[in-house]
Amino acid sequence: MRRRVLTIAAGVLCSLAAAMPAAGDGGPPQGAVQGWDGLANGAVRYVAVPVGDWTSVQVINRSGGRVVQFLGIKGRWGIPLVAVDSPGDALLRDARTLVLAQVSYGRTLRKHSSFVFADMKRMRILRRIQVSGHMTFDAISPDARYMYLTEYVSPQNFTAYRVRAFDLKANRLLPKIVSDRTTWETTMQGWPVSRVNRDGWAYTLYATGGRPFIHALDTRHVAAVCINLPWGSEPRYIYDYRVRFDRDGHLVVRGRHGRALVTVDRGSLRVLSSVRNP
Amino acid sequence: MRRRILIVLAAGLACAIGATTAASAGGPSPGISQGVNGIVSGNERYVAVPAGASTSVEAVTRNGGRILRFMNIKGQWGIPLVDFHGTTEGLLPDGRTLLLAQSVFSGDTLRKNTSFKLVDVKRMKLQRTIRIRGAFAFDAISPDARYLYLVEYVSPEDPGLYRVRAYDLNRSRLLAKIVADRRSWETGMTGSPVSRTWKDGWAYTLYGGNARPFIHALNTRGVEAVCINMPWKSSPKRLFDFRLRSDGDGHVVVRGPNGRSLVVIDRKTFRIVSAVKNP
Repeated sequence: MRRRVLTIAAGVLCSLAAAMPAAGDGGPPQGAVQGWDGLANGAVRYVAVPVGDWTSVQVINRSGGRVVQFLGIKGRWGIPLVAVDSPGDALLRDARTLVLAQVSYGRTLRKHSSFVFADMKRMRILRRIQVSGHMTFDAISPDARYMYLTEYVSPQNFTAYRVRAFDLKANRLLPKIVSDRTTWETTMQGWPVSRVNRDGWAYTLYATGGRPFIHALDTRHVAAVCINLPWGSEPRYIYDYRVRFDRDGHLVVRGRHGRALVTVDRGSLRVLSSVRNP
Repeated sequence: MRRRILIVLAAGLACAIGATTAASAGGPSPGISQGVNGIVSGNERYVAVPAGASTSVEAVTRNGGRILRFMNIKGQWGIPLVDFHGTTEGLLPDGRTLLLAQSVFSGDTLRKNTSFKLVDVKRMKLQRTIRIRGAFAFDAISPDARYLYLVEYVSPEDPGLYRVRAYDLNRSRLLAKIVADRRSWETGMTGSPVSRTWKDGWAYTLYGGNARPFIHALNTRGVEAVCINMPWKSSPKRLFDFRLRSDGDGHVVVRGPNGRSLVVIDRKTFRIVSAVKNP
């Protein structure tokens, strides 16, 4: 059953943080990692290692560290990483198709962005997608119909973005901007801190330099809601915060020591409880 | 103390086998390892993975499979295999210098020049490149990292024919001497390495694929070798499942596919102590 995106009192203009911190100094976000931890999936780990102008996509046994399979792909590719605690978003539900995102090291936005779908069992490329603009991977719907992309819109402000949806069946980028219908604004600002997924929704905590918010993305229905967190300014340790679910299925923002700071009802997307001083 | 190489009855003309057999068509070197097992040192595994025209050298945690460090080297490189069971070598005794090798073939033909790379896998830095004229494959390295032993392919027409050479890493030069059994005039050998074991600076390699299997005992400290013929008239059917091991009594043992002891050799005298008739 399609879940309605509800209007919530706290959500108005949720994502519009005026302040622009200096994180954009190093170039636009890539949203993908090369080397290191990659993406762990059961007994194996997938990593993308840059090798000259190529990328070696590898399947490594987590027990023993053997490189079981590898595939060389021309170009620079990485495994999408939306937030530090959500490296698994780029693996489709079939548990064998991995989305790889283009990585570029320029200081400006690129004109085109590419994605590769790789079959990690047979080690072959299934599909390549190219879209106009500087886009990074955000999420994929459970039925693999829609791939969500973060589109960076300003060469001056690398924190300004909007969410787009790519219809994988129709093979086209939907013209619609995926935004909270309760606001006219479609462009958001912030950095993803933590991500959880459930029932086709991707909940992402964003730091903005001002008021943090949770972006709730209904990946099945190409809709989104922003949930402003009830604090006037950004908590000091927000990058250590994590979004999780509690036993009742509520969305909980936990602090550095696991303390529940905000509890959000997933049905109404309302803030049920929160602490004053996180 | 330098160990003397003794003349043993069983060893006469051991390695000098004139006829090139079918197995030697693959050559005496099992090649290089790219990806897969690589080589293990403590909690880390080092692998060489090709992509495009370069190779990624990686240090991977054995517990978790995370990539700790990596570097790129132009060209196709791999970790040397020393037998057809997939045993890799090339990590120097310092535990941080890894030797990388090329395939001895360049296309369909033997390469005219061979290079080896020495990489510091802790700092992921290229330390040294060794270039030698001819087609060479890695064979062994001495425990003091003084000598690098190489298999030299001597005939483009017959890639199964080879001889063992030593490269002095201190002086950066290939020794003129052929590392061969002094009891034989022959310096060229044929056969494929089946299994390798080490003891006290000696590399023992069981060779097969030719008429009569033999063990090549290489004194890596002393740049000397002895060949020990196996006491069978023909090559056992499952020879490539055999393993070479050293036991606690100072013997080298050839074990069958099920672990059965087939030949026992005294490491001091190179004599066959015992052997089964039908392996």
